[in-house]
Amino acid sequence: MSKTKETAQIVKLTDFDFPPEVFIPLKSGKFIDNIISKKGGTMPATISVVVGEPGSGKTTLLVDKMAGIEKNHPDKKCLYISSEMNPIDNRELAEDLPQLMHINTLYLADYENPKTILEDVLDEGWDYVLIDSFMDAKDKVKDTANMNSTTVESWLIGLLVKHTKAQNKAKKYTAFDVIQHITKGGEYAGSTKLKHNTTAMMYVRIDEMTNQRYVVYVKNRRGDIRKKLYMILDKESGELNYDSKKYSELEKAIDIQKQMDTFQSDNDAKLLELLQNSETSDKEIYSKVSLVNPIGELERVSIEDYNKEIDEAVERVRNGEGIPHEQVMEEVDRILESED
Amino acid sequence: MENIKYENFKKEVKENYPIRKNLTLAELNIDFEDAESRNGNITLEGVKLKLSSGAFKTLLKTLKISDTFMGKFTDIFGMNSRNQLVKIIKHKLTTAKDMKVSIYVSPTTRWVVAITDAGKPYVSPDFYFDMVENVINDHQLDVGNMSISSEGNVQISTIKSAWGFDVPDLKDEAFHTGVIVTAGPTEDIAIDPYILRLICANGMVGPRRLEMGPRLLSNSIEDINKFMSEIKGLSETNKKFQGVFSDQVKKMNNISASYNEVLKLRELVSNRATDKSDARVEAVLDRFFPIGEVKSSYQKRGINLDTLTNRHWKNAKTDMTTWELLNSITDVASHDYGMGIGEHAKNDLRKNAGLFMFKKEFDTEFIL
Repeated sequence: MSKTKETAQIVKLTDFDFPPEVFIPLKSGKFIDNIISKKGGTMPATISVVVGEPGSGKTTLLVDKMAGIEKNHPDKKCLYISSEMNPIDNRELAEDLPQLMHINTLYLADYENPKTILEDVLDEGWDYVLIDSFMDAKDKVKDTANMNSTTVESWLIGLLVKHTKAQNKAKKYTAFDVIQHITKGGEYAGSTKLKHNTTAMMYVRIDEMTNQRYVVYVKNRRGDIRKKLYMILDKESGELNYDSKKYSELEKAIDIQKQMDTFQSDNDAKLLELLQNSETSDKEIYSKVSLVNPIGELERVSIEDYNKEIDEAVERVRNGEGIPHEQVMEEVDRILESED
Repeated sequence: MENIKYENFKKEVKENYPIRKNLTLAELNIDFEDAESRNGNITLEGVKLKLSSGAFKTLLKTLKISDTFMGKFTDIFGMNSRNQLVKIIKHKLTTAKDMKVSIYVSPTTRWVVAITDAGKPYVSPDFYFDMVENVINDHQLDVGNMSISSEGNVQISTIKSAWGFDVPDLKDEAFHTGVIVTAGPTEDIAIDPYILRLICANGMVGPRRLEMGPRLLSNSIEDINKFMSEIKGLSETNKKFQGVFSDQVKKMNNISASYNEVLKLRELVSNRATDKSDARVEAVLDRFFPIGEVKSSYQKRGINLDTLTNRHWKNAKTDMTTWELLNSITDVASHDYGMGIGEHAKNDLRKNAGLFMFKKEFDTEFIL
């Protein structure tokens, strides 16, 4: 089957007429909104991948966030697509995470044709959709729709992209959070295609020193990266609490690091300038050396002393005191060994 | 705070603070061809920069060559062999791994004043003074000594009278504590405890070995964060230091200094005196480190210390306690006795005093 030839369209941003709600964040009312985007919340028409080890708290984090969005925006439609869990699993999980009890959930494992179900459900139009997980949803479609892995992945990514462009019945610019698995080495396990189609990629990790969980963005077109936000699940209330104090401290540390980087760049420029303007004669330089003497002890040996030393060294060579190569090499080896 | 003095110092630091450049070891183009440059040159962008003796020493440290070895090697084989050895080791390390180094160039003299591993954090003078001022304001400290060394290392010591304490069982002794804030090419970015003995205004820096003061170990976010949060706990650090200090004073007051210890500390001071030919220097040294008296006291008992070795000197008790000896070094480090010891060198002595005070074991500690 031959594909229809695509026609290129050169556009300007003024050619688009986006509705204002595309630029209004969906706020969960939690501190995490501050790191999701600069506007403080989940932005419509975005796809964010959330990566983490099993048990790191990805589902807890995102279900808590989704419940927050529903609470803050009762007019918005939110959907949780659970591919890995069934209702009994989730009922038990809800003992620690009561937010699960009241959110709209689609259990993908319940259907013989998950591909059509996904297409149909998403076509209704949602403001926020959480997919748990991308890999499992992809496998379920692959197993039932007689498609290979690459084709399913392209189809699923295409489906998400389509809804971020509001190509659904309700014309909703859907925001997706997609949970993805990790490799044994703790890194993102998905394809580069998914990676490239995402607005942001967040890791949920466990701090080896403190055993505390934290989230950190490694890619974020709408917000900051590298800033760690620590979190604690309150088992009593099932609420996720964020350590905003620690976050502010880390933010300050990042600023200091940036200052140090800027200082180094300034130094590079300053040195270049100094070298380019190095017409100053040695005589002048030496006079400056003596000028800084009172505040330091810049050592300078007189030419006479130095020449004397050179003469003595030459004399030693004349007297047969050459460099014993073996001894030098022995010492070199010793230094290199101690270095290892 | 004497505002004008402080502001002038700030200006002086900003004008003299070295410019850092990061290079791979392979890019560090050293040569010893220029007869006028005893410690070699580094060529950057086609411009030759002379190495100061301090820079050469730090180069050796970066290349993991010990000072002692190089001293002996140079004595035996001369400068050319020394230079050749440095080049060989540098070449070997370059081929062994992709090591990164930082060179520090004085903006006023254009000399390379230090060379370090590139992992060493380096902060701007603005950051340093902000840090100093925040610490001073947060804890209401008074500024003491301020200095910048030839390598561009900066230090400011501070004192807080409210952080005063005395040592129980020790009459007429009272101390004030504060902090000393350091930064620079070869100095840690650190805030160490500083102690002032009120009886004669002797200052001493808490030794690094105790790991009491916050220090910035790298420019990673984790280390910066740790450093900043430790700064907040400075008062607690100081209280802890006071306890450790008091215990040590009591202990030192009961231990005699050995001849070896008196001799070593005397040399330490003597090496920092700029005009050694001045008769006053010897007189001051004799007053604080009376090796002549010790020798004659042993001579009277038929022992000639000059004929003995360092091992014996360590067992030779003197009439001074280790506490008195410590006060000798802090005294010369805190007052001007006309020996021409610069402010930075004085602070170096205060640091050495801290090291002596908390050395693992005094020579005569276990001798009955």
